[in-house]
Amino acid sequence: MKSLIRPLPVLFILGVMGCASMGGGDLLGTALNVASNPSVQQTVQAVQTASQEITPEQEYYIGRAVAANILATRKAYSEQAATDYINVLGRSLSLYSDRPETFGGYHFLIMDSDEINAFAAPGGLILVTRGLLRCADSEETVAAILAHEISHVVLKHGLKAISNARWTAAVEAGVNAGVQVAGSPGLQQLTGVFKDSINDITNTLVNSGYSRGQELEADQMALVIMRKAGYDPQAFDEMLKVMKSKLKPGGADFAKTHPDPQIRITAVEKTLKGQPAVSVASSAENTRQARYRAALGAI
Amino acid sequence: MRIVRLCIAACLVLAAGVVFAADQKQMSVTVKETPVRATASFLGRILGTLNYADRVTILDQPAGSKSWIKVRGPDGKLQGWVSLSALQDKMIVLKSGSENVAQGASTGEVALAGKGFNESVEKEYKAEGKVDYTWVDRMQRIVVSPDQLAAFINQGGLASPEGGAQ
Repeated sequence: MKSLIRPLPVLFILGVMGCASMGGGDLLGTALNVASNPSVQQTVQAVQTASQEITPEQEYYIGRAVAANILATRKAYSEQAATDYINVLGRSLSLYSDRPETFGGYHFLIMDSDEINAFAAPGGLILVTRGLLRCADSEETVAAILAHEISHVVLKHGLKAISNARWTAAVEAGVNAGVQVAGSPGLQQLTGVFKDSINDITNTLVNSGYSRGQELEADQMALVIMRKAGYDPQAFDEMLKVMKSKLKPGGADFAKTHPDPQIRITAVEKTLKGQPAVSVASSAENTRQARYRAALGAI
Repeated sequence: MRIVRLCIAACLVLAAGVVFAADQKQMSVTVKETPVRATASFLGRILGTLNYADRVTILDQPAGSKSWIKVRGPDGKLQGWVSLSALQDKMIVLKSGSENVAQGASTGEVALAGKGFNESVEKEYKAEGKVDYTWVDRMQRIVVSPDQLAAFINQGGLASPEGGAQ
């Protein structure tokens, strides 16, 4: 009897945490193999591993909620030309990343704040402040800012901020959920787990920040995206130096959530050392600068 | 005798077809919608669109290509190139089984049943009234058209976007 019961949590989590997926070598197969082992601990481990495979659809709903929470206490800057520009620039940059398409796509919004801050919600909802955009003085340096945020999405850093405890809770919610009928206890329990997961991510983005390793990883990926796109990654270094001069110690923005810019500058310069500069035709350079000034010159 | 031979030949053709079909790998679309293009490039002409959970048949993946794959859509007619970032090997099942229907849930609820963090969870979360999605919905309505994208890339002297940072 026990051997029949043990795989149940694994089956439930597959129902709870994602659209049913079928195929050779998938999570179901992996999880059941472990679940057939007498060790309960191994079964729980399998549940946790399986649950961390969040589907793109779930990532989309998590990202929407995270962005909504961040925007709950921040005002959007809705100037049309500026918004259009960062969207076409950001969308272009995403095409040179390892994840050019997400469930709901990449979308960018400027926040009306002097803080030097940005938030990349899972799935591709990216929020940047006017204060951060003022650390840029060209299309290349804006590209540096957006490429870093896109990299957080590609690397799924937001999802990694969800506590492991949520997955155990999600299993329990799945056991009780049954059909997700509005107002049912199962759905309410699952929504509770959802809310806790959103809080984990939002708290990381707003208060504690990603780890230094994750920030440096996003910097390195941004350099690759920029070079592939045809932007000189040297602009990333320039942007960080302006940021360093503007950040105020003790601030509630990047000063709190990001490594010291000097640490990032050192790592970026180490990577760029010896790499050839990206050459740009003067006509293209003029176009870039003209459209940057038209859209963000007065940001 | 002639009829028997014809039957055997027909069976062999059918069997070959089954074996061929079984050999053809399939993948599922993991994004809301993704364009099918005439060439393996984000600037390629758009031939049609695939939707979430659509099952596609793989027709060609050039050696060394990590970013693009040639597929045939579920209608059997739409063929072209799709970004690999929009596909996964595993099948996506959108609707629950008939046992859930027997439990008396409405059609919409059944379609969402057992799928984790989804629209019904978001509705429940919104119903608490603490979070306003107005700006999130507004930013998701911002669409960059393929023409806008192509003009931005070409006029700004950006590289041809084939996808993949590594």
